[in-house]
Amino acid sequence: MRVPVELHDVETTIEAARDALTTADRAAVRAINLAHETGAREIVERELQALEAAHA
Amino acid sequence: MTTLQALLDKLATITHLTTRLQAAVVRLLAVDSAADAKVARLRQDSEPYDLMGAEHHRKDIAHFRTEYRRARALAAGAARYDLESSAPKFEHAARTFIADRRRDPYVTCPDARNHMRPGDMLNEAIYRELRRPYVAGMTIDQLSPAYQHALDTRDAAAAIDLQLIEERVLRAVSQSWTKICRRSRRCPR
Repeated sequence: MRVPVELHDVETTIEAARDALTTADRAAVRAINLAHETGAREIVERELQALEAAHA
Repeated sequence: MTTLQALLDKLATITHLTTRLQAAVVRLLAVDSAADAKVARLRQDSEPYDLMGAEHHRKDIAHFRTEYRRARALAAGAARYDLESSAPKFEHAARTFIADRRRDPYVTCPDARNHMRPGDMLNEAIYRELRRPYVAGMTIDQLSPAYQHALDTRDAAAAIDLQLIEERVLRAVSQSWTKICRRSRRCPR
């Protein structure tokens, strides 16, 4: 009753984030901090643009 | 303390980062088919390329696979890092916010503190302490009507009653759970 309606799905969001991380782990995806891998930034940005375009 | 708007902004960010990571992993797992499709497209678009032979096409497929895998693994890794570094903070902020809201009787009685001055706030605190033993001594039959009356009134005294009754009920629930857990540990399996 006191929790705003906008936050009613917060558990689903947290669960989805956990699932995505588990899937990434199973696919042997290693976390990469772009702040430490400056050479990779351009490639990643290009890939992420392709991802966004595929989703648009 | 986190505001609702800040939390909603973070919620939108987490949703976006989750979708991005899911898509990046799907894309990474589809490297082989993407490389095959690329060479098939090249063969279709250019006859000289098509005539270069199966060995050449195999080499190109291997090249594209390596290139795609590297780029997509980097993108998925960056997406994982972004989600991994923000999800736990968001979860903590959301749980704290929700727990605080659930405990706050002034969300139910938003006008209870209207026009209160510092002296009134002191009186409110004193009243809460005077009321505490009374609520603690209420029987189960008295708690529900008192709670209902507070919900109907929603003034400063009602907010205090809501708070004290909820604290008492939650304490009782927590003690019951502790007893059940202790008992179940003793039970032979």
